[in-house]
Amino acid sequence: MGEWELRRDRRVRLGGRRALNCKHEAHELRLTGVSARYGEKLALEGAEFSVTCGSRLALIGPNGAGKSTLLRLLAGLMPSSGGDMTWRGAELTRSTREIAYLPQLDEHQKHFPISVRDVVEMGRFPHLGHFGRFKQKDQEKVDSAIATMQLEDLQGRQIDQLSGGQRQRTFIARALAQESHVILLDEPYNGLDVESRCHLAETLIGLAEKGHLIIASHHNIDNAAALFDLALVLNTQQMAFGPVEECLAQEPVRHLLHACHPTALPA
Amino acid sequence: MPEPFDIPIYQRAFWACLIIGFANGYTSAFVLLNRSPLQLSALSHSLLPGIAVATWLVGLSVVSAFLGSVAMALLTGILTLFLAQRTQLSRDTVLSVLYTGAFSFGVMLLTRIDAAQELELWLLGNILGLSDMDLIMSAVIGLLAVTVLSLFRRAILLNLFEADVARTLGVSSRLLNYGLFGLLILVLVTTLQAVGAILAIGFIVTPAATMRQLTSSVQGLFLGSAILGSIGAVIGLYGSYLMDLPAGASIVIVQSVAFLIVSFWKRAA
Repeated sequence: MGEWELRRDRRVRLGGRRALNCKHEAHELRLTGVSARYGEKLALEGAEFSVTCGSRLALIGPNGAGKSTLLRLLAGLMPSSGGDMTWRGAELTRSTREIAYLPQLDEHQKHFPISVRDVVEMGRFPHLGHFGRFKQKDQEKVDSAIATMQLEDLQGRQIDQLSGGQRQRTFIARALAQESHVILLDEPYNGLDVESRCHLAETLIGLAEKGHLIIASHHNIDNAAALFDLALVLNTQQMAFGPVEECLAQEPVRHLLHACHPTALPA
Repeated sequence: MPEPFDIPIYQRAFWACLIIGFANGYTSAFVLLNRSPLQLSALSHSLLPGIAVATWLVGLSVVSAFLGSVAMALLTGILTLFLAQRTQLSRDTVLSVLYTGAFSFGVMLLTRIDAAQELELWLLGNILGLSDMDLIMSAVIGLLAVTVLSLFRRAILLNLFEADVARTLGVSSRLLNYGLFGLLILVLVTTLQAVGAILAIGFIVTPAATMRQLTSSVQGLFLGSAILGSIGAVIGLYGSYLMDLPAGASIVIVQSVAFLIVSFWKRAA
């Protein structure tokens, strides 16, 4: 716990509260009774909550509880089987460049001959399409994303030569170059060393302060309260939603997470 | 001894080496990034019965063999996907079963229709005996492949690197996958007809495998492989003339030796 508290106040230099992407914090993501299935199997049911830009939401629950499914739904990678999702008042039915998706760290193809900068430039695809020319403006967006994530010295480096934390920062930089508002991350703290985890925590807090909405699946409930301000507890069904500590204090949630995480919350 | 490139038959083979080597080398960069060399090798074997049936029905010609091969490649590809889903076996497993079966069926057919010499032609081809039609088809399909792979480079790389992320960024992954699979089949079939299965696979796999060890840029990989493909083919052709060797085998050997030299010369990563 200590490592998180130590760093919480030393916020990263992310431009303070210059909210670049969400000009006001009223951009809202709202889900009403959302469910999803893989074939016959129900993966998620009754997801119902509303979050606005500037928040950090943790998706918490045991394996197979629907955390990744919810992220994939929001990313537009699979259709919902019921309910409504709206983003900024409009129905959310497909991928949008305003919502960036970062899969688990080892999902990308290995030994791929591209540099950090190449990866960040990929974020410009929604703006350029197949044939659009890479212009000065695109260059600037990429430069600024790289600077925000402090990757200047690494931008020529091959992606395979990076540590997990550096790769994570590269992928977040791509989400920034994409000019996303919402950043979805699947277990972003997995496989990182202590220093990278601290760095990532500072980064995500800084991005939320700038106005991004951060939504991440997270399995370590010990540090959830330090890293996120809101929690959504899932066990296929939605079990709780609200401030992290309040959620984790609820009896059914304690029971659920205790059962799969014996050392986490002493009864 | 006369210079080989004064002889018309060698002049034609020289152009074929340049064109096929360049287009296939370029394509090999995609095959490498797509991790599909073994699939292509397997598919090339499954084409034999297509050629045999076409020969049996309408006689052997560039067009009939082309159509037979494309039909057979599509059939094998679709059947592989379908059966892999139905049996829960891996695609590689199903494809291996299907291509050995199809290949044997092709051999049997060729024996029956008294065209057993076609097998050797299918295997090793004859780059010295290309028809005008072979050369034209290779050039057209080669140009198509290079164009498509260059124009859609941005989306192709995104899709290969992280398919899910590519989809969220607006790349139509499925369309791209099917389109490129179709393109690969076209390149494979035209090359196979021109130069035989062994040389076709050598052309469409080896250059990028060599080049990948020399470059860490995508641009370098595509262009370098294309250049390596055409130069290797021309050297192989020249060597075959000097040493009186079969041209196809000589070209494959040059490409393979280049790969071995680079692999052993470069320090292990």
